[in-house]
Amino acid sequence: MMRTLALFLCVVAAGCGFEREAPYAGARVPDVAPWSDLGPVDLCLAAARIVAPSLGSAGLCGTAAAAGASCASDGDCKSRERCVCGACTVAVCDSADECGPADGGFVCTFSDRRCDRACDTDDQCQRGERCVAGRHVCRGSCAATADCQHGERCDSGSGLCVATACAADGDCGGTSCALQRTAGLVAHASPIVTASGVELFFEHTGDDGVANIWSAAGDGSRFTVDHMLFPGATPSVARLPDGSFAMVFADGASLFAARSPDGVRWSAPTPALPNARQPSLVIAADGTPLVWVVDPDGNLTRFSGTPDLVFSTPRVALTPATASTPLWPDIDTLAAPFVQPYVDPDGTPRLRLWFAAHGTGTGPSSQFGTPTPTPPDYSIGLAVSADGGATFIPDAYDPVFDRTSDFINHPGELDPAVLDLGDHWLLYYRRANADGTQGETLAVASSPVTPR
Amino acid sequence: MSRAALFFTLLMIPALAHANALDTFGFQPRIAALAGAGTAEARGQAAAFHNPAGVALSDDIEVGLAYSYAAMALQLDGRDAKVTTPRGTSLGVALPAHLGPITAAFGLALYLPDQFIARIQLVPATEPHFALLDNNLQHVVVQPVVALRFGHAFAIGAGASILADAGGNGVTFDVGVSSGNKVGQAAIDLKLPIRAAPVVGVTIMPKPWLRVAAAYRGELDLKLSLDILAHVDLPGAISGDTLISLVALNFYTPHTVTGAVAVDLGALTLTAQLDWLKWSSFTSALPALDVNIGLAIAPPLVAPNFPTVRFDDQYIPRLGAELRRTLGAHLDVAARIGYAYMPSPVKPQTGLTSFADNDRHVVGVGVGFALRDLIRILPKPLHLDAALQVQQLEPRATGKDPHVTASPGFSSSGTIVLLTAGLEAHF
Repeated sequence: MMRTLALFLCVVAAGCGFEREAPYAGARVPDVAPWSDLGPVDLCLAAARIVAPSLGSAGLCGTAAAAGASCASDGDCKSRERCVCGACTVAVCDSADECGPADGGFVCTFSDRRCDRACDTDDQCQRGERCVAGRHVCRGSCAATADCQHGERCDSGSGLCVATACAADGDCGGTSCALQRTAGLVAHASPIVTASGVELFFEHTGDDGVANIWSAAGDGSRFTVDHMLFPGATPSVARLPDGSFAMVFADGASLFAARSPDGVRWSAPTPALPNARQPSLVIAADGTPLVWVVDPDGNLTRFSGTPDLVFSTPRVALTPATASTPLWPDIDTLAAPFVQPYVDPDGTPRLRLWFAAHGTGTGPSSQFGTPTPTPPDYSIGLAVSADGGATFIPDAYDPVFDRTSDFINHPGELDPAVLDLGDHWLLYYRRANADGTQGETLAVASSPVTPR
Repeated sequence: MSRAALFFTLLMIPALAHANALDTFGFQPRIAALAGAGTAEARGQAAAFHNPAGVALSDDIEVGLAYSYAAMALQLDGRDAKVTTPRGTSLGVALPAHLGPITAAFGLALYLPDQFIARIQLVPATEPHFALLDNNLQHVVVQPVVALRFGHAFAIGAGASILADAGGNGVTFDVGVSSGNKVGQAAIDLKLPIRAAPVVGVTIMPKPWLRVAAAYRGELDLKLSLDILAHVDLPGAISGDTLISLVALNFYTPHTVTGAVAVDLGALTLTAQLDWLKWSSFTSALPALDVNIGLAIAPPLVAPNFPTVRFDDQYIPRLGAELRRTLGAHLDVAARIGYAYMPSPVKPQTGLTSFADNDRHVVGVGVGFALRDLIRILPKPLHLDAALQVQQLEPRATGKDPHVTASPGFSSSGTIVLLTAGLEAHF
């Protein structure tokens, strides 16, 4: 009996101590692929986000006079408001992207051009709201506009808070239009890590078609524009050994260079290299400035520079032919090099070249039984160099970033720039149509991929 | 798309190779203190894992219960690898029966992790990941054995190491529109059939002070076979099936052959053993994933390029020593120390895959107390044992071959500290 009891106690004790740990343990290490697309970069110019020209400027009527409560995220705002460029307001939208991630709680009601919280029943909405039958969105009940949230007014007929989208004051019938987004083409991001976060230098083209170089500060995916720096395009910024900054950018058919002690105040630009475009500036370990550009022949060519940032001594580093691989065989155009120095853990210094290229990275599709070739598009490839960037070897699994929509459509991705933030990397890229002729907006992806 | 193809095949889901927690640390505190050198030295319940023949070497019914906790201070690229802590309860049982000159015994070794019966986690193979020491050390170990001892010179034992597969008809769901109404329904059929690997052992005692032992354990793994079938029917838009078929091996434990010797020199016992782990047989480090999309509009699947991933066989020498003293009428004490060198079976990862693993130095120390005549229900000694085991990983840095991949290399290093304590009751 006693033996049995002792044995029983032992078995019971063995079952003690159960305790759970997080379902996804283990550090994830950034890699060159795959990437999680995080969507468009949130780039604020005053109270409005800069959006693709195809979306155009937009806002809500009647809210220009009083700004919404300040915020850092949607959680700081009321139930139907989102945090738009630091202020709480009902958000205008014409695309799902504009209402945040799919699991963020907001959806775009396209007929009303506003972000709403989805619902099926009233109890899924907040107090003072009801789930509008047939529309499945939460709307506030009201007797007066004071009962509504920022950007809304009370519609006396329905007793619901409504918002009116607009593009200009003239759309608002006597009230003003508070713009939440302003159209502009943003391209060629050049990010650097600063003490306060990430500083992003980029090319901005407004309605007038003039390209300028702007800078913005932010956390990597959300930025506020600081100011315009120069007329010009395709900036590339690198940190010099003394902690100051150098920039090379294009103006017309030539490259120019400027310096800055702090990334804010810049010297007057000086000529750096004629007949070149889309530069990528790197400061070698010995302090030599190196720049990779798209040369007149369409190759990616390296030039060595002087301390005054005047470049010469070309060396072709990658051509469309040498960038082609068995899985990406027909590259006909290279664009937008971005060179990233790194040291492999075995001590080998290397350079990683991200580039955009036009080619077919996907085999033919079968559309209702008919083999259909996949049209070529711009995608982002990767190559590596162990000889200081004189030559690059393309990754066998290029392209490393290529979006697909509706199973068969491959939009374009250009202007890659990668930022190493230690525990994760960010890949900035410009969305465009397949052949790159119509730019959309600057977007960002992250590595490692995150379980959803 | 080529990288996307890899995403769906090779990169997204590497299977992983693993030893189990008992292979890594040793079964019960006494063997952990000897750095795992238990094939010739373990007897009774403690032998149920290391050498089934040793189960018959005890004349008593034995029950051993221990708890172990390992702090995994492992690093990838100088950062915390956040490897899940292996911790769990070990239960050993030995039930001998004396049949004249022959002793027959049943033994059971059981390791029950705190948190999971088993855990399957797949990450891209290009991402550095500890191949043998990740959270997958945490799966249940069940090893029942039987043994026969002939007189005092020879014992033999056999049993099975038991695990399960995960398979079945998988997950099936239908989505679409029927008669204008949205339709969504799903069914799941998952089975966990038992798998077993043979375990045999023999112990020869040519002299009362000398034991020579050998043990073998067959390879064992958990085969995950999961099919996800989606029937999609959106009239006028998309109609067809999509099948995602995943086959992966987890918790692979290789063929293991061990030879060992133990010598009693009065109050001192010395033991040495050599383990051969046949990792070269493990050829399924990367799983098979097939995606067949039959939606009438989809691109065909790009054939993936699977690299061949081979591991090296592992030879592990282990040394252990135990010194015993009697302190009074009711107390015996024992001090133990052990050392093992565990070379990594993982080849330099200069290609696409990034399995992290390091050569390890294993040092164990421990103490044991045997309490006699304590209480009436335990007329035989009650053993209390504790051990500290430190596994130091030799730093390893791997650069990638730029002709194969532009992925970055990685470094791995770290220290594992195991604390374990338990009791063993004899009846």
